[in-house]
Amino acid sequence: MKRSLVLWSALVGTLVCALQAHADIGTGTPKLRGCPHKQATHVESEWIDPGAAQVCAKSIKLADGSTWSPSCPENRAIVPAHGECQGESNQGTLCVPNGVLNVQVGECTCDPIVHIGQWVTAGCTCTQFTNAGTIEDFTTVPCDG
Amino acid sequence: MPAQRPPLSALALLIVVLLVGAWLALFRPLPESSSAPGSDGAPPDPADSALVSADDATGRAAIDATESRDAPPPDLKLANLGLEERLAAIARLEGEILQQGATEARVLRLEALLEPVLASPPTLLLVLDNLVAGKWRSTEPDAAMLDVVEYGGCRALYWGLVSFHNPTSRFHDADQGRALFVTILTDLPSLDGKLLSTLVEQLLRAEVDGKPLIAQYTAEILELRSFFRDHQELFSKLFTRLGVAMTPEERDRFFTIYLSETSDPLILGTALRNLLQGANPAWALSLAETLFDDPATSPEVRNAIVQALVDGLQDPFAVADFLVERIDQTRGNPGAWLTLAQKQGGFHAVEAAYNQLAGSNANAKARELLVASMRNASASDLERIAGIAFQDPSPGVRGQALMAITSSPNWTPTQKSMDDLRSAFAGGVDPTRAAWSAGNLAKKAAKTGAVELRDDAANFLRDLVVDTSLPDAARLAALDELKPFLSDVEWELLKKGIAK
Repeated sequence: MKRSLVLWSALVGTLVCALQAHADIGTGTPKLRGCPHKQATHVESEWIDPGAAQVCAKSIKLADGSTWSPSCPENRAIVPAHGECQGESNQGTLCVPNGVLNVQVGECTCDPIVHIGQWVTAGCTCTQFTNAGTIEDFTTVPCDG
Repeated sequence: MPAQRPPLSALALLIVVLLVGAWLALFRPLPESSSAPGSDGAPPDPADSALVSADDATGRAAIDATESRDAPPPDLKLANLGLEERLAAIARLEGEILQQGATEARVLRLEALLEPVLASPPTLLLVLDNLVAGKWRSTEPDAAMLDVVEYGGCRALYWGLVSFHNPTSRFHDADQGRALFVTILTDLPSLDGKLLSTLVEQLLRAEVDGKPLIAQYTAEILELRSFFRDHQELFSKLFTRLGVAMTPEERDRFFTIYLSETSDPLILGTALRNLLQGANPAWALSLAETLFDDPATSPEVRNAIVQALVDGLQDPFAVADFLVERIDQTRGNPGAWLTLAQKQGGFHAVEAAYNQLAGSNANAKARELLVASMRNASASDLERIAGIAFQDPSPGVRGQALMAITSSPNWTPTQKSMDDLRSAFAGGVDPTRAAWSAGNLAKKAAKTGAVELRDDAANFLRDLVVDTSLPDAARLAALDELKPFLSDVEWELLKKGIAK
């Protein structure tokens, strides 16, 4: 009975050591075990025009029927620069949440041509930007940190 | 009528290039030419070779002469304008028409300004040459602006495209129209910035009898798209309005082949959006799901699929289900979520999806994004979002509800809304989102002249900034929102308090 217990203990001990040795191969220090080796991907800030464009009420129609109908988005939004976990590889780090950032949305109105001195800005006027939503931000941290 | 076409052979490209080349050789003026012929065929005016500038008193006076209201100016004056003055006058007069109305006198004056340019295709090509060469570009005050002559040049090209293609126009000439369109297309890769986007807009919006001219040039666009590999996205963008005049069957025939373009999210998204509006939207939805769920699909293609669903799929409930079921891949696409409720019947779909999740306190991130989508609710529906701000179990969702209300274009700030915000904050709403909501409230109150309300919101923000028990992110968000309401010195002082 005693001998069989010793044998079982030796067997289990050997197995545990073997498993531990196997797990350490290729991961460096024990602290890096389970490290995904990924980093956050930087995404630049971006203007977007969410939603359908509105065809402006005022248009120009020539005698031959040729027409110019300007259009304008209903909203314009600025999505701030942020980090995303897109699976980018990096030895010894992981990609983790870093809070949220605000997405601002402005309301646009048809104002197809604005003259400022010799300059023209054609398009729409988007104003009254407010904090309408959020986007998650991610960052990179060391696995053994 | 647009139809599905196979990619052109090299022979077809050769023919197009030869045709354009021959046309250019015959009609295009020499690049070194620095002036345009006047409408009367007179020798070049010296003023033509100079940029229109603030100190160009003669040129400015001539342009200003076109700004007199209602009464058409003498035709002789218009006929004698040089090219640059003419283009600037076109730009200014169009602005006047769009802002003050299209009186007969103004439209007649615009036609008189356009006439010599439309009657002389080589002049239009000279305009394009000068735009490409940057001849009329001076130091821009910001990237959103064009010189008035540049803008007038883009507009003259637009009227040329439309008039040459319009059978009822006295300038109708299909060959000239084709040559001008293809030449502009070919020059696009040489351009950038606001000039490029303005010219693309002219091509996209040019239509005759409600049909976009782009539909006649799909073969050329595809050929140029494969030739200018570095500008693939530019040419893909030209397809965005292509489906406007197509029947559902035509959409299916034309766009199906582009579903395999996974390296070009823009054209793939355009194709999918059109197929969702095609003869078999259920089939297109199933394709979208399969492609989206493929682990090899890139985040950019997934974003394009989501946007195509939001823009193209008629059933808002199906779109909401798609977004919620795939929350881990769709949560990084705020544009799609923000516009979901704007679809017809969208608010009810969003609200139903929210209620289903809220009942079991499931998927807080999806609830938050659904609530963000509700910001375009009508004034009466905003009451229901106010309920979410107090009842949802998640502090983040409650905070998002406050943001959705205070950012809504249909919302007016009141003292009660400020009191509600304070009470929601006291009830444990996420402080960062509370700060962003207070910022919205302060800005709107300032805009409506509600000074006391603005100051109340600013005081709330100040309390958040100095509250050391709050996370730095919340205090910094409050500090940012306070910036328009403080002097630089006050703001820096508060900032130093957080840095400690």
